[in-house]
Parts: sequence; structure tokens; C-alpha cells
Amino acid sequence: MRSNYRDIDPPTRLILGLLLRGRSAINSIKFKEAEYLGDPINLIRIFSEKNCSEGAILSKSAGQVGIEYSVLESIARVARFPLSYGGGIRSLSDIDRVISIGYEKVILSGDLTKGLVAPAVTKYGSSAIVACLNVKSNWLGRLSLYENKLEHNINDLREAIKYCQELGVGEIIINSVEDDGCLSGLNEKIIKISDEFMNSMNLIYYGGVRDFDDVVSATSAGYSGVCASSFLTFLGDEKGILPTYPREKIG
Amino acid sequence: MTKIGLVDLHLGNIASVESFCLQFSPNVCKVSEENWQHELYDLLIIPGVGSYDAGVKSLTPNLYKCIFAHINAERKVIGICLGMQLLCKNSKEGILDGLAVFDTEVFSFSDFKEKLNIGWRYVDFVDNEYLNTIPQKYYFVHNYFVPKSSYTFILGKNGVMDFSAGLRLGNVYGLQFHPEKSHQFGKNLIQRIINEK
Repeated sequence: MRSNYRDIDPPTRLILGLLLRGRSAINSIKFKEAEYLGDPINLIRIFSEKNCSEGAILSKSAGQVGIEYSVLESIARVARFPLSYGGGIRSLSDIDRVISIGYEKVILSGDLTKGLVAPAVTKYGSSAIVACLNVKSNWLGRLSLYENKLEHNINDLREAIKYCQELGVGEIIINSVEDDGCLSGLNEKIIKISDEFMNSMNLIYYGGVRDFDDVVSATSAGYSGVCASSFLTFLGDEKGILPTYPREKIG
Repeated sequence: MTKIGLVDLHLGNIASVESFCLQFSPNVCKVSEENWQHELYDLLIIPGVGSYDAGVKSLTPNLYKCIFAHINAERKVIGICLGMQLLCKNSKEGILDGLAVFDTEVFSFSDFKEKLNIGWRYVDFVDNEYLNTIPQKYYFVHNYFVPKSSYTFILGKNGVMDFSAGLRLGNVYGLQFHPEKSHQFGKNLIQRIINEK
């Protein structure tokens, strides 16, 4: 019954990370400088044509100005690949609306509280709820959460992962603040974290991915997927904007 | 022209499924508790992203009648993801009973020490000739699964465990993956089902 030819089984999971500020797609560097990339709907249409296999839309501004539902709806309408959304989600009704307009999963970062995650998991199942932990090395060199502490004052990355597991989220994106937008390669400290959790949790690596070899390395190290932004939107040292997506090798 | 009905459970990504279905026919209607007037569609789709009990509770009386009217009239019915699981007897995820079209239960990967199954996966068709000209892969996102059984027409794998990626009983189909998010692979499969006599 098994087919003779498969490229990689299971296919490598490379997720397009697209940042929004208001109604624009942007690229950030170390979570600060932001560069305009273009119209997000047009970018998603291009990535659809390139058979992108999965996308995560993350809004940098929704926390302050609210979720731009009309843009999200337009993005979902043109996307021919599965989408998740994060940014500014504060209530179950926000989650209801995001999922109803065409997103398979929601990503929670600032509001990773039991009060929000528990009813969301009850309604949509853990597979629809994703945690995003933005991490950075602290002055002792330990990986800790950037800006937001979780409930119970949790700040250490390992403790945060365990806490998210207890909350019942389906997967966790570990986003390296220091590598964001830098095309600097994988953060080895974060890569090693997967040793402890690879058998119990789906972890997604995000930050610094510069080429497909990085994607394969992170996956080989135990990450179930890799999220990338700059690698998929820039070309060359001059960082010309050119949406690209590796063909054939991935799902 | 194929008339497609989409069961609106007010739970899940019905907008994506609607947009996907418009590729097959311009005649796509959402079916809700309030608007179903005993009309029969050529294809009825039960989409769903959500937990089992939330899904069962969403199957209000008219939607229940609508689904069984289609099954009894031997129209094609496709349950997608949670929609497939609702066509089973019950689930370890909840305490409520499903539609029991497929006489099988839904189990949890966690109970078998497997992680959630998320991402693209190759599948095998039990009938080798069905679509197997090239390897087929689809997008999965689920923690609950239906074991392999006599209903299995597509076989999936998560870690070391085989499970039913697709169920079939006559004209009733269940797809654990999301064809609406599976590029050309999903489109080819739904087209194949629509074309079946």
C-alpha cells in the first residue's frame, strides 16, 4: 500500500511568519526597527502561488489599536494554505471571530492566562491554541521571557514551557528576540531546549533562520516545525524584497 | 451544476471551506438551524474546528435532520476534521454522543503517548488506485483520532501509530485532514468524490 516515492516523510514543516503593523506587512529586527514589506494580502497571494505550506500572521500593533479583522479576513480569503493568527487577542470572542473568518489556530502570547486558555481549549481543542514565548538571554545567560511574565511570575523558559503544557496548548512557538530579523542562523541555546520536550510537546523554532539547512537542522534537533520571516521575504545582501518559498522539499 | 451545502455549526473555519468550495461550484449555501428548508444538496459538507462536545451541542435539531435527510437520500456527505469525528459514536474528548454514522469511537493521541498531529502528512489510500498516481499529502491538525477499521479508506500515520485519515461508508465520507488547506491535493480529492457515481 505504501507509495514508492516520498521526498521527506513527514514533510518538513516550514511556516511563513508574516508580521503586521496596522494594515501593512513589516519586518522587524530584534523586535524593534521595522521595515515596510508591502501589502499583506498581496504577499499572501504570492506565497499561495508559491505553494507555501503554512502561515502565521502576527500583529505587532493589535495589542494597542485592536485587531484589524478586515485585513485578516482578506488574507484568509486569498490564502490557500493553513493560517494561524496572533496579536491583541484578549477574550474568547476574539478567538471565535478569528477562527470563524478562516484561521485554523490562534496564537497567544501576552494573554497566556488560565482564564483565557482553559475556555478556548474547551471550545476549540488544544490543537487550535498555540502559545508564543518571546525569549532572550538574561544577564546570567539563562533563557527567559521577554517583556511578559506569565502567571505565577514565571519568567524562565523551561518553566514557561511546562506551564503552557499544563494550560493545554497544542504547540509552542519559541521566538528568539535576539535573532529576530537578523538572518543570523539558529540560536543554539534555544535549539537545545528541544531535547527536554521533543517527546511531549510540539515546539516551533522562530528567529534568525537564514536558509533551508537551518530548517532541516532545527527539525533534526527535535523541533516539529520552523517559522521564518526574513529568509522567505528577502533576497541577497541588499535585502531586496522577493517572496520565496522552497519548492519540492517541503509539505 | 453541483449544489453544495455547508453545515454551519458556528464553530470553526467555515469561511475557508466556503471559499474552497467555490472552486467546484458557484452554488454553495450555508445551512443553519434557521434557514434549512428541507432542501437536498448534491454534496453536504460538515466542517469543524473545535472540541467534541462543543460540536455535538452545535448540532441543533434542524441540522441533525438535514444531515440524516442527506444520508437517507444517499446524497454525498463529507465531514471534515471535527465534522468527521461527529459522524462517529463518541469521543474520549467529551461525554456527549455523536451521530454514530460510523460505528466507531474517537481516541486521544495523548493517551497513547503521542504528540498532537500537526502539519502535512503523506497518506495511503486503501484502494491503491483511488488517487495514488503520485503520493498524496494533506494538512492535519488534531489531537483525537479514529483508529483503523473497516471504514478506513485513507490511512494516516502519527509517530508510530496508524490511524484513519479518511473514513467511508457508502456516500458518507469523513476526512480527518483539511482538504480546504491542502493545495491541489485537497482539491483533487474533493473533485474525485464529487465525480463519483
